[in-house]
Amino acid sequence: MEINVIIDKLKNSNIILNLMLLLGIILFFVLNIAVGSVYIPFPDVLKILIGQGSDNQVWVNIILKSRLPQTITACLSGSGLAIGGLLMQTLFRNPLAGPSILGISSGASLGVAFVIMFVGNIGGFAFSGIATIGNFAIVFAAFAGSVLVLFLILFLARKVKNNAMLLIIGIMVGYISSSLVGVLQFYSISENVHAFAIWGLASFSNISWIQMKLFIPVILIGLFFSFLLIKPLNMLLLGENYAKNLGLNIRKTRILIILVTGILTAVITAFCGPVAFLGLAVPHLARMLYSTSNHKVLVPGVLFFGALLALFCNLIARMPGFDGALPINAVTSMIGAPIVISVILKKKKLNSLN
Amino acid sequence: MKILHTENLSIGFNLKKKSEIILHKGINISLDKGEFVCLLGPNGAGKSTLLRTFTGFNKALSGKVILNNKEIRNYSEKELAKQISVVLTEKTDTANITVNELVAMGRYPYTGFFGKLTNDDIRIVNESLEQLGMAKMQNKLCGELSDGEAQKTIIAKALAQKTPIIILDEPTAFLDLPSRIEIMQLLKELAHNTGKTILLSTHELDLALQYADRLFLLAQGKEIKCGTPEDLVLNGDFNSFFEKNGIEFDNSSGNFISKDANVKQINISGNGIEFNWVSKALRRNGFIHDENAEICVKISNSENKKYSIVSKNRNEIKVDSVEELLIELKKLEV
Repeated sequence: MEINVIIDKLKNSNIILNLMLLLGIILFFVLNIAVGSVYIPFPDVLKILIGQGSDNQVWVNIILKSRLPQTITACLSGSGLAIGGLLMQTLFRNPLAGPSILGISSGASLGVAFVIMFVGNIGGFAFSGIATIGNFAIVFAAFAGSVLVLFLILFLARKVKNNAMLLIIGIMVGYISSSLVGVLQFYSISENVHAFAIWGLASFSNISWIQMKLFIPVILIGLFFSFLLIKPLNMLLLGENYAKNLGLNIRKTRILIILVTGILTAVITAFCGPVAFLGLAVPHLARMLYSTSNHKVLVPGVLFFGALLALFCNLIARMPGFDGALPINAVTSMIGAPIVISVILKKKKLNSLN
Repeated sequence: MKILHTENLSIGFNLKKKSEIILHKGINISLDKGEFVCLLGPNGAGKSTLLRTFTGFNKALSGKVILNNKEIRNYSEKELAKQISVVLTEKTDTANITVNELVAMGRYPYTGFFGKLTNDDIRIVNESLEQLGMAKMQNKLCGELSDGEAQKTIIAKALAQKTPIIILDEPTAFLDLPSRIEIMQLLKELAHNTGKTILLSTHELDLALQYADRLFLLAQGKEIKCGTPEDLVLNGDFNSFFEKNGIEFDNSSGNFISKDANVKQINISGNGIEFNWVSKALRRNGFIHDENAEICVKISNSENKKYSIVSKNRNEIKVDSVEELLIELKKLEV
């Protein structure tokens, strides 16, 4: 093939865009580890990452026990939530859907509220005071709450004929959970209410390496399954009748999609809290940037873009100058919304989901 | 050679509260290989329900639908995907995929996990695009297509699925007249030349009469009637299915005419093409042919002033065009 043809192909294909995304991820990954409220010289950062260690034990701890797990968590959570959002938007043919639409994060919130405020209330102490036990209990409660809702939704997914019903049920679960949380908040001492609120703002920094051993494989498995769903997702673009005519088992696919989204969302919410905005916005950004709805392009695109955006937000949250770290939700919406708006305004043709 | 037939089929809706709405029962019809069949009927007749029962979307309320000696409900989704392809009037979420990508989805029953296309698949996709005249536009996004082009793309997808049966629900609904004729012609050729069995429902009665090998006539409360278009017209079935207040099907012209309350008698004489068209114009204005009428319209073979109005007590009026003819007739206050 002539050089011109090759260059044309490259321009039209997504290779350049994907390369830029990958470079961006690597850049922000490294920045997340190298930059923080404690200044660590870059050569030392590299030495510690390679495993050569450093004279300064504090630095080693900061890099290996704080920044590295946090960065990996941000990366995987961004991808996981973004994929969850994509799956939900395609399954329900709803551009406003996000991974939390099934009510799973609401279930997690209720579980955590129960532990922090109800149990704390009964015991008569400020739950926020208990560190590691508290952390484990919170993770467990969040996961339990998520899984309960997930089971409910999966059970109904087998019975309910169309997807709109599931959507409504998920939203209703969200409302019930919010109202119960409100009641709990009303009867709790302020420290616990504050602790719950802080949990609700999400953070990538509350995972220990032991927890990572569970977190990383589960997220990777979920992401892997999302690749297997590429073909069914494309078929769903045609609508359930055409998809069925092309050989798709609608019920099985629906359950699989809900399961993958549910597990990704449940695990991420359990360890990080209910991270907002990423799941909803990243698929739209990807659709606009790649100008396609083809999931062969979107699934990897959303995966990379979710990781990139999460890393970026995490970096902002931890920029030196903020005492400690800002909670993630404060940043994701503040940064994310203007990005989405600017992309919409730049694109002359609005690529809508409908 | 029958490819699909029904045995005592009952179609309708199954409401959850154990009650059923039966639209039609005891249906015994069949489709032959290489046949082009049109399903006609007024709105609400149950055409879509019948088609959906054939494609397996709706369950038969009772009776069987048998495809190649096996009941439809015993086919798995994957097996059925290779037997029947559909074209519906539903909206799809495909604004942001290209024409090529959409047609390629027709190959999904045959592809592996990620939907990767073999060279054979790609060839089939290209052939389907060519047949519908969409090859030049294959890299356009579906959202940029006109309604007609979008419909052709969906039909190309059904072709790419390479099924022996194609079922279409009002496929010409959004098309302009040349495109409608194009599609009907294409489908007829597919049936006759490649042996596909095509069943489509439509409101285009004249196109159906022209292109279909057989018609199925369906109407609320009436038993389904099948036959060649000409038989159904000649034995009056066609008329009885579509007759409505004041409208009837004229067997000789093959058109629907409204039964006017006020008709005027006029004697039309002449021959050739002009005779047909002048008769049509006169009919539109409420004149019907009667040999004993006082007024007579004559069509001659001369170059000028072909049309003349002859009546007692008046001079013969000669005109050049049908328009002038009608104006003169009005003036006579006939």
